[in-house]
Amino acid sequence: MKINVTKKIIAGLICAAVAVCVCGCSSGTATDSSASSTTESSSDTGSVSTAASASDITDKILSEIEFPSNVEIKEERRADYYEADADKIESYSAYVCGSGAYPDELAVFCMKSSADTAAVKEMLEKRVEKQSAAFKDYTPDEMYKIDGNNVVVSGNYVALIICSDNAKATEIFKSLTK
Amino acid sequence: MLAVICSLSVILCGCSDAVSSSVSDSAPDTSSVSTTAPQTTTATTLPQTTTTVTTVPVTEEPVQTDITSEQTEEPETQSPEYTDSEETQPQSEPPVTQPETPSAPTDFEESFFDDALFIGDSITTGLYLYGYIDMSKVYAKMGLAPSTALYSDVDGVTLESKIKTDKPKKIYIMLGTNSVGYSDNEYLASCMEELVNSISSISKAKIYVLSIPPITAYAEASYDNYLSKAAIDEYNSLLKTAISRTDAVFLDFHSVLTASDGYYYEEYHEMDGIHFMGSTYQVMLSFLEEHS
Repeated sequence: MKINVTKKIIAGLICAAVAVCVCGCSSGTATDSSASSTTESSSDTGSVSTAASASDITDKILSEIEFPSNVEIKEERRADYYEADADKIESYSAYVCGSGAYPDELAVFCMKSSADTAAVKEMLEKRVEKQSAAFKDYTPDEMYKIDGNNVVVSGNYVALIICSDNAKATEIFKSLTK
Repeated sequence: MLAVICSLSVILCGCSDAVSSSVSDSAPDTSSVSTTAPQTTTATTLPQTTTTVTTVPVTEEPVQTDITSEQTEEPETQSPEYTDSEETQPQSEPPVTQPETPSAPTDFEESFFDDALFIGDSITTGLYLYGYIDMSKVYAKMGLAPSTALYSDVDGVTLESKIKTDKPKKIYIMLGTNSVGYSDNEYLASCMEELVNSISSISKAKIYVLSIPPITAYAEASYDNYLSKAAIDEYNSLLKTAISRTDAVFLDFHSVLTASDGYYYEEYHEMDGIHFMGSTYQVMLSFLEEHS
């Protein structure tokens, strides 16, 4: 009888241990899954909400590189300068030299999908060609800013960078769009 | 059995710690992204504020730097000098000639220009670049000159086509800065006369021709252009005469932008000494509204 009682107690303990193990694993699994989903969602939203917005990037570049007489081209004026499907743009920010004296220009597009970057890249490359044609005879001394590396793609982001230090601006752009 | 249970629980505790640490490790990544970006806002983007900002260190510099370097040598005399100089400055020092400050009005009604067309060069492009005038009302591009305006195109559109399509009621022309110094001023003025007559032949719009703006002494001395104060003055004078032979109205906007020394007011020019600052377009539009 004592043996039976002991067996029952041991069996009970085993069951309890198994239950604890199961609960522990399941909670661990839940934690893992929630952690991984957090990681995934943060990386997903990372490109949308937690990563730098287009204005974050232009602000950072403008704070470190001088842009003469820069003036913001807000969304309501964007179509005058940059043709792009508004439905495909997550965020956008752009500045040009307001006086018309210098070719300096900065535009950042954060697209909802990386598949949409190609069209924006092509559009911005045409913009560079146009500005190059306009400035090459007008201010030849400024043409070093249009150096052929003025359109940069990084993930969902596309940037047009024409300034006195394109390399540094590109570095900032890439560091914020990793 | 108990040992097995204990070891299992130890393992589980270790796992949960690992999970929590991995979660907390990921947090700084997102914070590092968010902290880098929002530091600067529009403050860095407003060129007008730069002139204001540069005046601020004048009052700060003696306190911040000069005193720390010189006070160790003459700590007692340094600070009295500051108070003395501040108190006696109006009496002992000769009167400082204050730089001239322009006082032209800057208020204008944008709707006044709804039926207008602006023709010009890179200076005129600033009207839409700064957002004061809609791009569709500006026919301008870099390098446009009195001799080329009639035959050139802007984004594939000729001036004649633009005028016939838009049918503006007021046309403002400011051209010549790209040519003065390179071409004969009489020829340039005659080109402007021809331009006005050509426009008058296809449009009933009232035409206003603006004198071209001044330059700075620095720009005059620069080898980047052949502009000079004398050449600009001569062109504007010849332009006024040429336009008097047409139905157009000559507007002396040059005088609004020019200080008593004959050069640009400091407040009005871009750092190249030729183009406009953003606020100068407000002066321009206010002037045009008043005189047309």
